[in-house]
Amino acid sequence: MNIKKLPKFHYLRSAKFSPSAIDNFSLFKSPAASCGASNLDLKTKRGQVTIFIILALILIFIIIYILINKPDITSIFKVQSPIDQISECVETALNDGADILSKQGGMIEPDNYFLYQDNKVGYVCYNREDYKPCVMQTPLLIQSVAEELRKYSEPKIKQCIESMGSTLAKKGQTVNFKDPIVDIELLPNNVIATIELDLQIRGPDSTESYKSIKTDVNSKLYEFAAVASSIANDDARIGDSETLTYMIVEHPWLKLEKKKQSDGTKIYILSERGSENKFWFATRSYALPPGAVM
Amino acid sequence: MLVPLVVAEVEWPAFNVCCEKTSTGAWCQNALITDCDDTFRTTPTSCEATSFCKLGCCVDSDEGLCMQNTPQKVCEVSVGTWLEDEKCNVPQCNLGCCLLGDQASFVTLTRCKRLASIYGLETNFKTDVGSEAACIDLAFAQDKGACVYEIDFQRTCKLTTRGECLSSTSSVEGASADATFHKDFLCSADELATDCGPTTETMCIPGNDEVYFKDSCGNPANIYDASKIYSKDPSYWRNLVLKQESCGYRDKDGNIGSKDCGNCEYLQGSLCGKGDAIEGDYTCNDLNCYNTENGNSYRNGESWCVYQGEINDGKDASGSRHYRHVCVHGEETIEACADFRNEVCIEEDIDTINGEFTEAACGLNRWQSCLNQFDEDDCLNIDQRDCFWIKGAHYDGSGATGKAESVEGTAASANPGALANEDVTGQNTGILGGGFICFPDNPPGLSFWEGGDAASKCSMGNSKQIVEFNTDIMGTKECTENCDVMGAAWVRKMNQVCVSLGDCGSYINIAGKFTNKGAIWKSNGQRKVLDGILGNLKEASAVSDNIAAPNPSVDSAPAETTPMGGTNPFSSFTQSGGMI
Repeated sequence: MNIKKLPKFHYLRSAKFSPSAIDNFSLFKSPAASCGASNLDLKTKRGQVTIFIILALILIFIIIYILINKPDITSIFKVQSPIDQISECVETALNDGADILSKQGGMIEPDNYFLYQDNKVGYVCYNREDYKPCVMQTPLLIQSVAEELRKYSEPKIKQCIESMGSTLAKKGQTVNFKDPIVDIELLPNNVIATIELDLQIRGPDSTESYKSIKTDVNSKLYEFAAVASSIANDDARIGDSETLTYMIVEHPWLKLEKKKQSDGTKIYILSERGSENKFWFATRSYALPPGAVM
Repeated sequence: MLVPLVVAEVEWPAFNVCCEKTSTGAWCQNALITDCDDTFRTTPTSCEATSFCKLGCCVDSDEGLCMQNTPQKVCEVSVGTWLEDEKCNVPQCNLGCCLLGDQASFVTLTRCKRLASIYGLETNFKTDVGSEAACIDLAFAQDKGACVYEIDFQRTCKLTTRGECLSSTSSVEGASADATFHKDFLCSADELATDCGPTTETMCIPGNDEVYFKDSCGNPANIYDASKIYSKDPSYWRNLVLKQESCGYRDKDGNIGSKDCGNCEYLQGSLCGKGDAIEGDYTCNDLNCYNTENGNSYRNGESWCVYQGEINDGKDASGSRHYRHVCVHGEETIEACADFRNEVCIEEDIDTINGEFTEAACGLNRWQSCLNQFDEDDCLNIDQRDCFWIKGAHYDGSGATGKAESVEGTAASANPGALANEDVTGQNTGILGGGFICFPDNPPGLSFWEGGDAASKCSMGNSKQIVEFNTDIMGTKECTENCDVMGAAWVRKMNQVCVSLGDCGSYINIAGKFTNKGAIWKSNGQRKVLDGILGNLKEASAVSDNIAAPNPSVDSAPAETTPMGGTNPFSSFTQSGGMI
C-alpha cells in the first residue's frame, strides 16, 4: 500500500512546485533510483513520525493525568525527613484507632457491649435490670476516648520510631531518643498526638534535635464524644433522648440515628453530614420487657 | 415528647447482690452472685445501698460536663469529681448562657471557660439567663459591626461582635491593640477606608441559615440579593441589613433554589449550600423530604408515624411494631418505637404560621390497666391509659395473673346492672358475655419463645362457662342455661377478646398470614375444631365497637359442657371443667 502511494505522493508534491523544481528533482535521480532511495528515506521518516506521535500521545496522557489527579509532584522527588516519617506513621495509627473507637462506643476492646452489625458497640450507660435508669459506665467519655486512643496508638508509634531509628542507623546516622511518652488530646475537629522523646539524629555533617513531635489529624471524635455524653445523660435521666433536638436545634452538622433493640438496648449512630465520620455507642435504660408491667 | 418514666413493680429474676463489676464488664449492677467478676467487690445488698456503687454526679472538671447516675467508683476510676446528687443539682452543674463571639451555648461555667479557651475567645458567662432559648436570643441581641484594626501597617477589618472586637483576647492574630468597633457597619463600607471591598462572591456562615455576600477580606456582608451588587446598590454594602428587611423574607418555601435571593429559612426547609446562583456559588438548598416511604412529603424537622398495618381498637397484627420517621436535611430516617409494642407512635399536626407541621413521638403503651376498668370514663381516661371501651362482653376481674390491681370487687359487683350475661351460678369465670369491657388500644406484643410470660398474659382472655342441660326420659338433652356460649358467634367473640389482649388468639401476623392456632375451644375437656368457625379473620378479627350478640342458632353444641379457650403460639387458654 505504501509503495503504491509513493508515486502519487511525488506526483502531488511535484504538482505544487514549479516545473523547474520537477526538473531539478528528476535531474539528480532517475525515476527508478529515486523511487528506491525515497522509499527507504520515507520509511525512516515515517518511523520517526510514528515514534514522535507515540511520544506526543504519552506526553498528552501524562499531562491529562496530572491535570485530573493533581499529584504532589514534589513528593515524588522529595526524600521524607525522619520527622515526616514519624508523623505519617502516627497519623495512620491515630486514624486506625479512631476507626475502631468510633464503632465500639469509644472503646478499643469493650467488655460490656451489644453486638450490632458485627460490631461490639460498647455501652456508655447501662442497667441490666428492666424498668431502671441506666448507670453511667464511662462518665468522662472525652477523656476516656483519648486514653483508649493513646493505649492503641502508643505501641504502634513506638514501633514507628524504632523502625525510623534503625533505618537511619543503617545509613550511618546515630539516633538517640528516650522511651517515648505519647499524649493524645481531643479537640474540636482534631486529634492531637504529642510524642515526648528527646530525639537526636547525628549525621556526618549535622545534628538534629527534637524534644517532642506533634501530629494532628482531622477527626470529629471530640464532638461525637460530647454529644454521646449528653445523650447518655438524657437516657440516665428520662430513659430516652429526642434526636430532632440534637439534629435541628443544637448540631445541624449531625445526623443522629437511634436503633431500638428488642432487649431494650438503644444503638445510637452519630454521623457528620457530608462525610464518612461516624460514632456508635449503646445505652440500656428503663428497658421494658415484653408485656411490660407498670 | 419523651417517654414517661416507668416505675418498677416486679423484678425478675431476683438479683440479690451488687456486683462492683460484672463478668461482662458492666459497672455496678444488681445481679446474681454468679454474674459478678470475683476480682471486684460483691455485696449482698442492692447497689444503691453500697458506698462504692452509690449513684451520684460525676463532674468532669476539664470539660465542664456533669454526668448523672454515676457510681462513685466509676467516677473515681475516670478521674472525675464525684458529688452526692445523682441528678446533678449541684452548683458546679448549674447552667448559664455562654456567649462565644456571635454564638451562644447554654452550659456550665467550666464548660464555657473550656469552649472559650478552645476557640480563643473571652469567657462571657451569664448566670441570669434561665433557658436555652433566652440564651440564643441574647446572642442575636449582641452588638455586631465592623471591627477595624491595623495589621502589618494595613488598615483592615473583621465583622464581629463588640465584645470580641474589643476583648484583649481577640482571635485576630497580630492585630494592633487599638481596634475600633463600628456598630452595624459592614467592613466594605467606604467610609471605614479598610482594604475590604465589595465582591460578587457569596458564602455560607456556619450556624446561620442564609447565603451572604462576601467582601474582599473574606468577611460576610449582607444577605445575598442579586439586585444589590455594589454596582447596582452601593448602600447595601455600607450597613448591616436585618433579615426581615432582606429579599424574600417569609417566603413560603424559604427561597429554595432561588438564583437571586439567599434569605434561606431553616424552619421552612432551606439552608445555605452549594448551588447555581446569578452571583456566587451558593443558594438556599432544599432540606425537605419528598415522596417518603408513605408517599407523602414532609418539611425539614417534621416527624410522623408509620405502622405495619391497622392500629388502635386492638387491631395491631401479631409481631408488628410502631415506627417514627423523621425528616432532617432532606433525609428520611426511621426510628423504631420500643419492641413488643411497649411504645406506640403518636402523631399530631400543629398549626404554625407556615401551615401544618407534623410531630410524632414514641410514647409508652399504657395498656396494662385496661382490663381492670369497669367504668367507661376510667377506661377512656387518656391521662392514665390507652384503652377502648366496647360492648358485648365483660371481665369478671378474676385476674388470671393473680393480681387484679384495681379490682376491689369484681365487675359484677361494681356494676351488676350493666351485665347482660351475669354469672348466675358463680362458676363462670374470666371473660363473660354481655356488658362492657375495656381493652388495650394497641395490644402488647409478647415473647412466647424465651420463657416469657405470654401464656399468663393471654390467659386473661380465658373464659370458663357452665352450660346447663335437661335430659328427658328418652335421654335427649336440651340446653336450658347459658346456651349462647356453645355457638360459633361466641367462639368468634372470645377470639376477638384474645386478640385485643395482646399477641394472643387467632389472628394475622406481621407478614399478613392468618393462623388459627392461637385459640383453643374445648367442650368437657375435649378440644373442638375451630376450622370454619373463625374462618379468615383478616377482616373481622379485631373487636368491633359493638360485639355482635351471640347467635345460638349458628351452632348447636352437643355437649353439656363446652370448654373453649384461646391460644396462639404465644399463649394458652386453660379450662377447668365447664365451658370456657
